[in-house]
Amino acid sequence: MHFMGYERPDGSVGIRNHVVILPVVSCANEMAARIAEQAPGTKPIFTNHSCSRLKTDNDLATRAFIGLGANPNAGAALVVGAGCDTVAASEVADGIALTRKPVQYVDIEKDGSYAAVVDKGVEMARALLARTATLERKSCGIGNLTLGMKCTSSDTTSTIACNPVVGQATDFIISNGGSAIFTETTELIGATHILTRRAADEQVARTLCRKVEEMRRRIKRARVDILRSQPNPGNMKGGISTIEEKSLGGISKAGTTPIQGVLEWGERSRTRGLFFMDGSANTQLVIIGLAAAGAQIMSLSMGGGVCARLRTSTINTAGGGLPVLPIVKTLSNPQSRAEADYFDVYAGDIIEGRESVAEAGKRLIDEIIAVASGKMTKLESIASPFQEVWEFYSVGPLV
Amino acid sequence: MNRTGQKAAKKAIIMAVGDSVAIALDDLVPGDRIRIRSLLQEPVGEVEVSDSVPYGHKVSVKSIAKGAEVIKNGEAIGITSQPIKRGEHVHIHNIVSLYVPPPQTRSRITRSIS
Repeated sequence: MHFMGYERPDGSVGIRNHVVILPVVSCANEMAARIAEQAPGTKPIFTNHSCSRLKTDNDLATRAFIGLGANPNAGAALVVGAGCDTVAASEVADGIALTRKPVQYVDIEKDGSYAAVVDKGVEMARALLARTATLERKSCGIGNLTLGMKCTSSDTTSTIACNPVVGQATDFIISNGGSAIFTETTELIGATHILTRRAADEQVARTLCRKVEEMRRRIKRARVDILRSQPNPGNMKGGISTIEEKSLGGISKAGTTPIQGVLEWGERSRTRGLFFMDGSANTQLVIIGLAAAGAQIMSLSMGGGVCARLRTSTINTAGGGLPVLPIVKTLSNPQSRAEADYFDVYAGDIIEGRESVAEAGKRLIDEIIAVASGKMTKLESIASPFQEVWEFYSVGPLV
Repeated sequence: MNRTGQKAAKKAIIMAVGDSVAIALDDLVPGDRIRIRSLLQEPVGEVEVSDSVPYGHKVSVKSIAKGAEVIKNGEAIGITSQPIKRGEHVHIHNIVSLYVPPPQTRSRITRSIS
């Protein structure tokens, strides 16, 4: 099976060909916005990263910035810094340059002034646009794809419809030599016994357990015993009786293949197959983490309810979403059917007995291949006046 | 009621072969019959329901002894805290997690549902 993608110098394949503008600190967001405004077609990725973070979190952020620029959906990158930042623009640009794609950086310390950064940045961004514009799509194997996964606004219908449907797409991509990544460590607290059975070996199982235990302890330091708060009252009202039942629904979107490894947040795997990535369940953090880990396409499966009615924004993904990670949205709940036009795949017919999981799974796979070949997602095709400022994961306090 | 005076069967779905519970896709009242389908939409069987079961909640499709595992989607989601008969509502009043103590809010929630 094939899709039409952009071949990158490092052998990876993009499904989009964006020139991304990457501010590496929130202070540089505005300069990045001015550059993007004067170089139409470039895609700024604004950040909430600031100097008040501990070294551990600066390292996480550095890896994420490099990962965003290295993501195969970026044809080229321009890094924008202040010069006094905890994450240096030069270091991020050097990291991205390892992929051999065009990358440049500007910062106030190197270039002299705010105005110089903007002027020089605009010039560089326009040149990068010209360099990437000539690239054409070629037929590439499905095995080049890495699918990221997340479920949101989950209810009973997600367990029956979207999650098994996404599981089929996951198995399809992996059986073709590709990769898939699921995350949300917080969702696994109390359910590691289910997940460890899916681990490829003892080492993977041990790392999974350690990551979950570290997350539980971090939450406990904030004086919350999460084990005793799950499933939450809303889950129970919806019919979820135990924490293992809650986790099971989410795990089904990871299909049926063994978990080959555990990634840090934003870490790229060197091998192919199914991976678990450590991190929060917050949608923005999941999106940035998956994109930094090299996922080119993401599945966001939704139960229904008010979140489905947000239309252009499915919890923190307004403004078209993250440019380097197109999101295929699936909807499960027939009660939210009126919103189906705002989703790429509607799976609610499974609930109403009109379609099998296998049939809906096939539709999702077809949609993934179409989007990988250039079809705009629903989120991408809706123009929005709003620009997202993206959250970056942290494990320590702000200082 | 249909023309023969029998209530029309209501809907439920079972996630995997061998599961001990199905998921109600209608609100159920005692005496309802549910027609259970698989994820592939194949008919699996019918069960008469003995409890009120809200949409999305679980119904037992077989008798389960006290302390036995409750299987959904091929995995144990907990163990029974009392014997469960075929057709009963399966929820926090009769199953508990295998690994986690009950949430502190559980007694309050149980009361509000039952």
